[in-house]
Amino acid sequence: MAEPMRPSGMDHLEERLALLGQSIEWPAAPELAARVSARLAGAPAPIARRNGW
Amino acid sequence: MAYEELVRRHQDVAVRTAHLIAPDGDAEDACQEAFLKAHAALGRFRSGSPFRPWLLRIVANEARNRRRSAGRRTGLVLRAAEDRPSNDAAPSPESAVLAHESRTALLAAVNRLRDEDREVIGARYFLELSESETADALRIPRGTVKSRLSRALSRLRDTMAAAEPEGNLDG
Repeated sequence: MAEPMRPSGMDHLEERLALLGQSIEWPAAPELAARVSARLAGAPAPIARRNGW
Repeated sequence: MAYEELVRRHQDVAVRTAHLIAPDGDAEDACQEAFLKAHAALGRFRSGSPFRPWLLRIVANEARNRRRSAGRRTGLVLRAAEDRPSNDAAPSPESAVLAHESRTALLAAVNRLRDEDREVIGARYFLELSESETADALRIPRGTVKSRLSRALSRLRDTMAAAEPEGNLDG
């Protein structure tokens, strides 16, 4: 049976890893940007900046 | 707010990078802290340089610190519904099960690798970072990415072979 075509430079293990990456359950963090903004709005300025370092 | 937009634009890759390195439950906090540190350090960011690798370096560093203090490792997991055929033909139930088992075994083998190996494989194949971005995130020279990746793949093959002695290892 003929070897299937693969993206250039990728062996079969690498190809499987790339496909696996699409199946990984990455957590979403939909509130992250809002939380960072809230922290920036409410938090005091960094010490280094306050002291002019 | 401009910075919130910047966070929004990069949060997915940042969270995934943190999740690759930090233990479950710590990744999102690591990410949030990294964005705050990046904001505080914006004055040191070289204008004209790409923001993403610079940010990922901070994210990875924060995630690594949390892993160190937590004293435990991360473990990537598969989505429940992960079969996404690349063409219109739906896989048969049998081939779907085999594909799932194959992916599960491969992911288990990746999760068994030591941190350094898992991180370079994850950065290149799961996060699809460039060599240069991988070098930045992992704080290693670009040339080391290639050699480390090559060794990591070799150890992954060994790990798979050990798990399946009669194995059908076609990598």
